[in-house]
Amino acid sequence: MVFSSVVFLFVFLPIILFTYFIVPHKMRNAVLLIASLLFYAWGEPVYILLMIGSTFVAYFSGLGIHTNLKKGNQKGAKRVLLLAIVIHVGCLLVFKYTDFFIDNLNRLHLVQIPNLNLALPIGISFYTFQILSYLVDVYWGKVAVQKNWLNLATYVALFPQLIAGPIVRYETVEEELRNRQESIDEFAQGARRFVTGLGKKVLIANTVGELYTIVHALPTQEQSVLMLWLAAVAYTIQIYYDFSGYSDMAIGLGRMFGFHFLENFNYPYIATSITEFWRRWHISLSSWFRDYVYIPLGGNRAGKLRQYRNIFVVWFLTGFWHGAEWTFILWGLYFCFFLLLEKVGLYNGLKKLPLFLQHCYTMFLVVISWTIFSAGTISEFATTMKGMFFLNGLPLCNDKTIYYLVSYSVLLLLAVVGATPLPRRWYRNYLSGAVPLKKQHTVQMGVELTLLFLLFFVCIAYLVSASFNPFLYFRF
Amino acid sequence: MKNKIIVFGFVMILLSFFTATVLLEDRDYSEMENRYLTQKPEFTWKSLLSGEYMDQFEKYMADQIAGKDGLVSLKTDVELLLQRQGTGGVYFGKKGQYVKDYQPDEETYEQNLGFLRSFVDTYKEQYRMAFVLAPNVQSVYTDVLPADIVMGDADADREKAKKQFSDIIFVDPTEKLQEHKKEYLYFKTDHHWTMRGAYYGYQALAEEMKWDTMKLSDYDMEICSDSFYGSLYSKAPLSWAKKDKIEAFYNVLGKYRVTFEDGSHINSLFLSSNLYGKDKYTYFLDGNHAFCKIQSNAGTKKKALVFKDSYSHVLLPFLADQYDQIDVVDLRYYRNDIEELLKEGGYDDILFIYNIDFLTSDENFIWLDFK
Repeated sequence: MVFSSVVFLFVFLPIILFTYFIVPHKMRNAVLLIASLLFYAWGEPVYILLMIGSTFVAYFSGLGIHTNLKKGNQKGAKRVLLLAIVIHVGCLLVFKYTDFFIDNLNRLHLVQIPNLNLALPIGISFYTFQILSYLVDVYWGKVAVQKNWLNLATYVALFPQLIAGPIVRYETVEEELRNRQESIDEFAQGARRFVTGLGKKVLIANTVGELYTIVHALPTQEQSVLMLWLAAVAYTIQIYYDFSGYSDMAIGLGRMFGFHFLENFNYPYIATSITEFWRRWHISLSSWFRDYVYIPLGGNRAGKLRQYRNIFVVWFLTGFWHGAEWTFILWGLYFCFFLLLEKVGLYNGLKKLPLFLQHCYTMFLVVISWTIFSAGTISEFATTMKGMFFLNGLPLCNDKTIYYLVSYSVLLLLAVVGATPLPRRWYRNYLSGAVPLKKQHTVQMGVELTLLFLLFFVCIAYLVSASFNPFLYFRF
Repeated sequence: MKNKIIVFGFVMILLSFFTATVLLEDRDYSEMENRYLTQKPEFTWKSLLSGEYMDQFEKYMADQIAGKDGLVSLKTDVELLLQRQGTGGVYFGKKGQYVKDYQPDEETYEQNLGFLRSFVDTYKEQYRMAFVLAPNVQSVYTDVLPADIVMGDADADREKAKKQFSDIIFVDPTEKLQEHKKEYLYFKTDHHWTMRGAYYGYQALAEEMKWDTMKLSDYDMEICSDSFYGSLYSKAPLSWAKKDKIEAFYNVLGKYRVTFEDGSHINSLFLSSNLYGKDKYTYFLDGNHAFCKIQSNAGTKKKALVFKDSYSHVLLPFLADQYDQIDVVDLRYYRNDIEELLKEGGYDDILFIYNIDFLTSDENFIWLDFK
């Protein structure tokens, strides 16, 4: 099930909220777990068994690591950890990457193996990474082992973050799994965050995403250079609003139930370098790779050469994590290249430039990166690139381009401004400037409530009027 | 305080949609959207395991949700506010005029012209033939849409047909309509012209056929409905869209009998009961039929065969005064032998009455292929 669906909003959510808040505290994890399993089963009626199996493997290996550590048997603990990693990563590899490996083997013409055609279990990349972080942290002694399967399964399967992240670390919710405080204020904050995220997804990501889809469905002779750039910008907007919208909804839902997940996006498009961009984009993923791959490999402590190798490994994996396709690997290595470039001196040079140029540099590279990311294959990407850089004879502009530009101008403008902290700043300045102190509270309340509920209604209207509502993470 | 309102509001919205949707009876059909709504899917283990059941259930919920019509309007409203000039194959023109997107399929159009050509070549010696090709609203009101909207060139396409059929009577009433553009020639919310618009099409035809005609003011005019939301509104229902009026013109001296393909008949060119349904345009000749026979007291001793689309439904009532009998064939549904029909019909004239949009997209002209 996805959040942006009528069944989730008006059947699942009311029932779950109702049940959750009428049962006593100690039963609430059970309610959440059952809800999460139903939520998952609705979209993956078969693979639910795989996920439940994973929680058991995680549970018992956690216990195994813990017992070995307690006995002082470091080696034994390590062996259990390695075995667990092999199982979990093995599952991920089998379900996500088998056909990719088979296709590439077949391409060598040495063997011909038929594809397995396994459907990818939704969210497997996310929950596998959560499980791994838990087991490694238990091994490192950073968190205590979870002796209650129900609590651990609740952590792994928790429906707010189950299918599209963020990747919540066990340590973040360790305390809250046992003991958390739901309250009106928390719930209100959560609801607000949820509606905002829903709006980002439904009103902006879906509508702007349509533009990208339309342009790339056009026959080449009807495209133009500017149109391809417009589509690339549209995708750039779509993926940010879609992904961060999902994160907002996850964080919001978490808060309604009293959980506090860490932020996953922090205005990534205002970054002034690629290094900074990755500190602001999909934070839970990049910090996961930092803590569980980069640092264990030695990080930057073993000399420059080793550090560059580590960076390479991390970005190869980051790319590959996003999907079993060469485009994603290229996408990861593309970032790796610019991050290394920035590391060896470009960064310092960049910082001497005017801020505006730093933004241009960053966004240019980011837009190109999404062109790689959104292309189905490397050759599709190459075709688009050629088109964008005048290499396959497209006209600079045509009537259709102008039409799309005008049609989407308001939406694009709203989206661009909304991706910056400016609206918030303007709103605060307006409040403190134009409204007398005494009235500020009332005005603020009126404005915010009206906007919030209006937004909610418009989202519902968009959801029920059959329209473009893709789920972008089916490859993750 | 604020937080309490948020919690209350949020929960109330979820709960009220939930309970209202559960309590309200499911609808079969949406009048506003003019389509059948998804019904509750049947549960089977197979459909559950394949996920088919869930997909259908989501569609079912989205279609049957309480307040669906209002929500669909709200979406269209917001789209227009965000300056989407159109949605769902429909553009929002000036003064509340909906305009259907015109994207002709060139290949189909070429084929259709070829089929018609073969038919004309086969029969032009035997019958007087005429072709009325009605323009779309944007060809008559050329400034109705913003200039940057890219549509197919309907003017050029009509011109192409005109060249193709220069050996028979070919009527393109666009100029005639433009002379009267202040009048109510096209519905605002529907893709058809009005009966008034069709009158000028009839006039243009009559000039070529050398007929005597009645002036429009000599007909009895009645506004038989003032609450018509047409097919284009259904695709993009703006909540502030204005209802259309339906004008009908009656020849008070005329006597008519319309017999349909199943043998049933009405003693009028109009069917008032259809004014209470959603598609009020079916008031004229009861909408689409595979075949109908229109008999009148015209007394001209002439018989005609008409191949047509729904644009003709408002023109045929005028035409009925020129022929004792008109046989009307809709190639989309008519599956009897056309040669047979011609052999037995004893027709004097054969007419084609089509709208350019139909001519460039419909795939049933193949039934006229006599090569």
